[in-house]
Amino acid sequence: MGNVVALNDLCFTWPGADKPVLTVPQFTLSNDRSVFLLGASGSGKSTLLKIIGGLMLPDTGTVEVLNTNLARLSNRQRDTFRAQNIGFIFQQFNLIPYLDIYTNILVSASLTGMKTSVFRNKVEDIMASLSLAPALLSRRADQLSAGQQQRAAIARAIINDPSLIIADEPTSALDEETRDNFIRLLLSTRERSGASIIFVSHDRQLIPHFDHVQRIADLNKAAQRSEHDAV
Amino acid sequence: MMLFNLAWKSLLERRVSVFLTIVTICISVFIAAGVAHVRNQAQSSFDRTISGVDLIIGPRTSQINLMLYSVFRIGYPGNGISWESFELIKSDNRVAWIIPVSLGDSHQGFRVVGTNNDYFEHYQFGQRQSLAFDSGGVFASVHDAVIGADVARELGYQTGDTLTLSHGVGTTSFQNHDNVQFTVSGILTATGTPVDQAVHVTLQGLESAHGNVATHQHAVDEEDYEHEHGHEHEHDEDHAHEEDTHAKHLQSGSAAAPDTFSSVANAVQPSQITAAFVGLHNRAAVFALQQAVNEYPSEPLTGALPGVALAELWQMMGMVENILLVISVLVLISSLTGLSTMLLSSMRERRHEIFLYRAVGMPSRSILLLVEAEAVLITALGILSGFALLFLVTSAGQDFLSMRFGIFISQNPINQQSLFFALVILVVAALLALIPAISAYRSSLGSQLTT
Repeated sequence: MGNVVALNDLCFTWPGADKPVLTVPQFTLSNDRSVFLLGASGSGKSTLLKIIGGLMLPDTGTVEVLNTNLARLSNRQRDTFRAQNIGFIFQQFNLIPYLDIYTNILVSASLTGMKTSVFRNKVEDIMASLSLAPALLSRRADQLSAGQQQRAAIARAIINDPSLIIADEPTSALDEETRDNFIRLLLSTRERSGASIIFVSHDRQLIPHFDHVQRIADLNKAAQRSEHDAV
Repeated sequence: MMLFNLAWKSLLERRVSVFLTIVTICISVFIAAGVAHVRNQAQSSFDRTISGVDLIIGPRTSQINLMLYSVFRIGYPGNGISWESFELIKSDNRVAWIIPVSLGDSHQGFRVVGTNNDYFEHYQFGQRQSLAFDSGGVFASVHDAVIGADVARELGYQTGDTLTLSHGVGTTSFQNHDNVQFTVSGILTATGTPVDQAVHVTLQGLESAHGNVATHQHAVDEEDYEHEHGHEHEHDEDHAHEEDTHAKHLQSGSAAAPDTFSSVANAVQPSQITAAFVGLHNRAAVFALQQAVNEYPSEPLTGALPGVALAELWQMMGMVENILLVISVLVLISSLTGLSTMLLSSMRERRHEIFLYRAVGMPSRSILLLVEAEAVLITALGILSGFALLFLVTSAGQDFLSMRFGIFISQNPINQQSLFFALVILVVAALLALIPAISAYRSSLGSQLTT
């Protein structure tokens, strides 16, 4: 039970590349925990997050999320699994710019078959908990400020009550004040829902907010090798 | 539904290029559906114009030409046939009835048909429907006129109103037969054929209007005479009744002889008529009679079988139609290809959008369907606007076509055939859109996903 994510002997090479971008012998994240993955871009973190999120499959090794081996699922099942259990938050462009906030979040909810009436109540509660005015729901995503957009991204990520939130540098486009506000809201949301979180950033100031810190370079043997190569 | 909603909003976001694509599809649908619509309508309109007439007799010309000007009032009659020939054919014992037709004059743009009461008794259209009167009735006197439904509607005539004729056909004629007035004795029920656009007068009345019988109440002054004379040449070219013109000039020139209206009663028979419609006792005799007419020794005549002439006409037109149809289909394909190109080139800027959809759990198959939904929406809008444009244009062009070409076209382009046509376009669009859709599908697969 205990693990939300368990990676074993993971290896991934981009098609056409001669070296693997990712080699992860072992990684686990237990239930109800938050991990801070420290790493710069180019460390293979995006690939790692896509593999954990079931957007890609590794060449070798196993990926278990919520005790489900993602490779055993069909493409369609993996998509449904992701919609139900994983919420993504990215650095920016989290929302379809020309859709209003309501529709942006509704897209996620509709993929798990949530009823519109249920959705309507839920989205209003979530908006309130993220200090977003209900009126913002009818605004186009690109009319919101960067901070509002990132908070709306949290709302989109948690609408289906996922067990795992994957946040890929969600604060790097925000100024300091907005960033702190964002982190506070994200973590309190997480606490309420009991979801686990993988938070990727190179911003060491944020480390104290998390249960556990992990350098991607320690995790990814492929990245270590290339660092050594560089040295 | 969610997908259509997303597709619709995505299209709105790219509204300019989407609009332009819709315009190209609209135009090509308009052309293709227009060609098909006009062809169908023209054919059924032509086919229903004349019914029950076994033979059309006119001067030596082609069957098609004779039918076009005598029945559809398209083009101008060349010569006429002599009244003696008409009488001779009438006396043939195979002939059940014969309607004389004399063309070449007009009234405010509507063609004038000189004939007799046999016309209203025997002329048939559609599925052997006879002419009927909305009000009034057949010619009761020489200067009576029976007008078609469109004439009555357009000019606001009622029975008892009077009208005068103009020489030649066309809205502006320099020579007016103002001297003779006709009284509307009847208004025909609408038929959807050139009959609606005709002013029917008696042959004798037409003769008197041309001045063959002295009917002038007033002397024609010199100025009028000069005016008429100046245009004599032009009239001679396009008019069958050369002698009539001369006769009139003689009358006008003398400018005397104040005759009474009653002298019309002595009206002579016309020396010439333009054509005659013949009905036979036994249709089997039609070929023998046609041959007899074609070999008539004292005058070169043509006997045209309406069905054969129509078939010849459609055969002739078929080539042109097919070329037009091929062109319009090619235009349509190129506009649908343009649609695919537009969608394909938008994929690059939409990579991130596709990535987001995938990240929240949308299956790759839905990404493919999303692009397809956009293509179908654009095409459907193009088809709708194309049909709407066709509706507007046919509504606007209806009167022109019926007046100039005797073609009666319904403005409603929606029928089983056009709906099938629309469906085919949608399917072709969806197939062509598979190119951008599959491209989007591929880019939504794991190894292609980029943030």
